[in-house]
Amino acid sequence: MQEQGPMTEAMYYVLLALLRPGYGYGMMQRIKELSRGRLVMGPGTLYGVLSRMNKDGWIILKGEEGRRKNYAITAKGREALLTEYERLLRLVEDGSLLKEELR
Amino acid sequence: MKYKWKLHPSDYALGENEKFYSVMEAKGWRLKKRGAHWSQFEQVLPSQARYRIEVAKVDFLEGASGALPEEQLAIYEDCGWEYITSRRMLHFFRAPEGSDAPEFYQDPRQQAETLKGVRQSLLIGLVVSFVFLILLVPILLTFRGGAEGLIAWIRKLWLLCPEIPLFYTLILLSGVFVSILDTWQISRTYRRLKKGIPLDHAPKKRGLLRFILDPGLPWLAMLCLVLLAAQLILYQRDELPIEPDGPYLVLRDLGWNQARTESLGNTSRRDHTRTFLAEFWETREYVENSGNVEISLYQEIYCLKNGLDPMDWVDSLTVNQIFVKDLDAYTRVEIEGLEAAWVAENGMEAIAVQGQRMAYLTYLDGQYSTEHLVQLLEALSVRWAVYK
Repeated sequence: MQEQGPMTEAMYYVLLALLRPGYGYGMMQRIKELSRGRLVMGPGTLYGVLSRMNKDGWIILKGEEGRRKNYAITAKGREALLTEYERLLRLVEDGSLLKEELR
Repeated sequence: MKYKWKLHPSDYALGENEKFYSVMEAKGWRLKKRGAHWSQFEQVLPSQARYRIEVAKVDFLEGASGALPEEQLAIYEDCGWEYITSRRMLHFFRAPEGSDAPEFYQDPRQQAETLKGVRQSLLIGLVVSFVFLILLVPILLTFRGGAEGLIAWIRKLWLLCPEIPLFYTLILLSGVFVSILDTWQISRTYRRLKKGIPLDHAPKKRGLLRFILDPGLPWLAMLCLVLLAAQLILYQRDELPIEPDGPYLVLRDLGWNQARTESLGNTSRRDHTRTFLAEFWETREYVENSGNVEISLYQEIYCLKNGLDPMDWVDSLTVNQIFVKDLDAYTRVEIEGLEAAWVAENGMEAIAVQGQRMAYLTYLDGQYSTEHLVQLLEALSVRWAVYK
């Protein structure tokens, strides 16, 4: 199995937002909320990420309301998110040396 | 509602287009439709607005058409972007200045991905065009008389109908240069975005070169078509007059007074046209003969203009003819009143040059002698001296 590479910030937050199923604009609001206003995702970025993840099987289409599509994270996506989360944790842990050095 | 049309920047100058529409809205003209070269605007109250262009995915292999998926459109509109119009793979959105509508992409590298397909298709188109042009060369060389025949034909066409070679040259030049420029422009934008440099939504200058190539050259090409139409309207084809009304001969001048007849369904006629390079007469005449074969005279007479020297063009007259194609195979003869004259050994064809005039003649009198051709040229010399 191919090793999972690092995710982009957009991918990470989309997966995080989709822990609760949602549609495009709702997801953008959720991402803004999750990042405490730091990340305002552009609609082009969001659509690109959704298309790619849907293709890769990380998210799945749950239903449609007119032109809007509802997505949810899949087990594969959840696993990928967890792997990325653990990778980020390790990065932060490794970086704790910085705090000691600065002290 | 008032509308106006205005010339817009080229398709692949994304930032220039965005700025152009913002400036127009500030002047009270909102984008309504985008055509190949012109945009239609409707009058509104002047306001500040941001315009953004989304380039849809173009992929030959996956069959993506350049249309924007409904889902993507819905996300953009939910974010506060108003969809205005589309032109091929370009989709135009606007949002009032100061609104919350976020930029389409935070990371220029993500936007670069949207240009990948367009860039590839432009590159493929460029390669295919060049291969096609290269393949065209051997096809053109199968033309009667090979490369020499082709050049002579184009030279004659240039005199008689300059609009046609001009039209094709302009279209070809514009096609080649615009393809190169489009590919260069989109590749440059793609590389910059890929490096993380954001798209400039308000670039300063608009390329003059670009304007000359597109739409300048296609417009000139269209003008050529209009001139061609005018020439065709003014083109005259009539029954050959009994008394010549131009610098050409009729068989009566050579002593053939019999009644005119038909040959293979052709009747005696005279064509006349003029361009900014030449005035041209073409005649064909058939008269009855005691034998089975009629007497016939075919003439192409050119009166060159604008300082063109017939001696530079005379060799183009023979190349596409039926019998002797090379002027070098003719024999030069001295005819009073003509600067230069040639007769073919077959006794049927003759060439004459005098002043701004040059002529090619095929004379079929059943005798086929060069002496008769000399008499023909002498008669032409007299005719040219009389007809100024």
